[in-house]
Amino acid sequence: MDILLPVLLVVVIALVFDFTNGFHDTANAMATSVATGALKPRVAVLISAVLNLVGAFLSTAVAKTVSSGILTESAKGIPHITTAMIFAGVVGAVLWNLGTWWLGLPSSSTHALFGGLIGAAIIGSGFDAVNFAGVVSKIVLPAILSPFIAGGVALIATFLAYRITKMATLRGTERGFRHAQTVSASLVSLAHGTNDAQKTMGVITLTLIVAGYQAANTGPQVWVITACGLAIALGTYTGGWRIMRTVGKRITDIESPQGFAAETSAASTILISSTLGFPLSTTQVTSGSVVGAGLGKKLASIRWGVVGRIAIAWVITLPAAAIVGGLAAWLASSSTTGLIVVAVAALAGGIGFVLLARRRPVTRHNVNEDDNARSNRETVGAETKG
Amino acid sequence: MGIVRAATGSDGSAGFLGVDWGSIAWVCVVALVVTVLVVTLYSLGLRLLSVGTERTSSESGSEQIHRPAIATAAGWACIAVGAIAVLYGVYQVIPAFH
Repeated sequence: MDILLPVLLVVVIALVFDFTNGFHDTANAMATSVATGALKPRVAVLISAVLNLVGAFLSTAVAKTVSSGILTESAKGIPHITTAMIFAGVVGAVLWNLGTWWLGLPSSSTHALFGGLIGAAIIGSGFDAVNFAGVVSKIVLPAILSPFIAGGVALIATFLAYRITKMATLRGTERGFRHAQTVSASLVSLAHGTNDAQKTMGVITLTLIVAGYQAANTGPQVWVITACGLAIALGTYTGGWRIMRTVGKRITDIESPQGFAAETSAASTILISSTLGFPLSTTQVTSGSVVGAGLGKKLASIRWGVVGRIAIAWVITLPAAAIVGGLAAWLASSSTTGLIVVAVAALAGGIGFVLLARRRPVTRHNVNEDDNARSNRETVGAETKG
Repeated sequence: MGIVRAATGSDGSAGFLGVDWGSIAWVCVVALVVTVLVVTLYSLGLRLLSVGTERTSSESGSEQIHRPAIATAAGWACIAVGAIAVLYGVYQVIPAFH
């Protein structure tokens, strides 16, 4: 099979994934700020987009984990995977991301991506192709632990913030915390760029290494970093109001001291993990810290039903994306026609989800609307249709 | 150099179940210390800056602030130290600066 066509397809689909990641995860950084009124929705996404782009250039440790930590390598350092399989894996991730976006679930783009890649590698090259020790150590464990770490830290910080300011009843504290939220939300966006933009860079770099365009065990090239940064920034600016509503309003009603504590906790957890090369799910960290901030004030104010739905989405994301990725890999590896069929299916699926979401749009105008009856109706509708 | 050096030092030393527990513990400790430090300092700053404003506004309805200069200075100092801690943290995680 011709090498250039699959490589180009991977680059395109990876950038599409990055774009969906951007609008899927804007919620993480800005949801609590928009919910408390600290930032206007438009301003929030603009700041977030710019800082995502900046973050993409700051650190590339996570990109290296993706390109050389998940799959086993041959003696020459070339991972056991083909470009067609990588393409199929990313298709699985994009479809899963769009599906959960439509349902308003803050599922992990990271797990969707890794699930897709792992599924594609297993179907294409067998179980030996996956470096399971690396997957457990660098992906599964950080993924399980990070929301609890961020949640615990946010809980303590929220408790202290309320204690010190007498439940934020002192004059000027509410406004003071809102100003602080502007900074802490910006840090989350920056952290998002250092972790999430990296994953796409890692995939493109992996492809270039496999196709022989780049030496093994090297970092991403400048054009890859730039393209990924721009794609995620554009996606962020386009805005993910749907998930923003779940994170900012449905889990718990966030007040500005809680938002500040949650964002500071999420930003520090993600930034330190990025430095160590752990590809954390920024979605899970932010959701965890929001739950922690809710608990830090009052235990009863968490809507555990919503948390439960999010948790289920977390658990099934990696295996589900692995199955979609595996199927796509089986098809794409068979022939060039199969590859084209996968590409067309991805495109059709993507457009389909966007059209479905248009029926009940969540925009910047109704992002803070929290009518329980309406959300219940949406949940039921989503479940029957999904 | 604290954060980055310690991280590379514990890299690759796979422990129980082949997992690099040291790095995970490090994430936990650093996130806790940094977050609690920043949030506590900022909250303290807000509290100090609200000194002398409680009674005045509720009883007489006047907006005048009777805050001792020391409280003003200490309040802003807390916020400034918190801001410096954030900037230092960002500086630490950017490899280009090292």
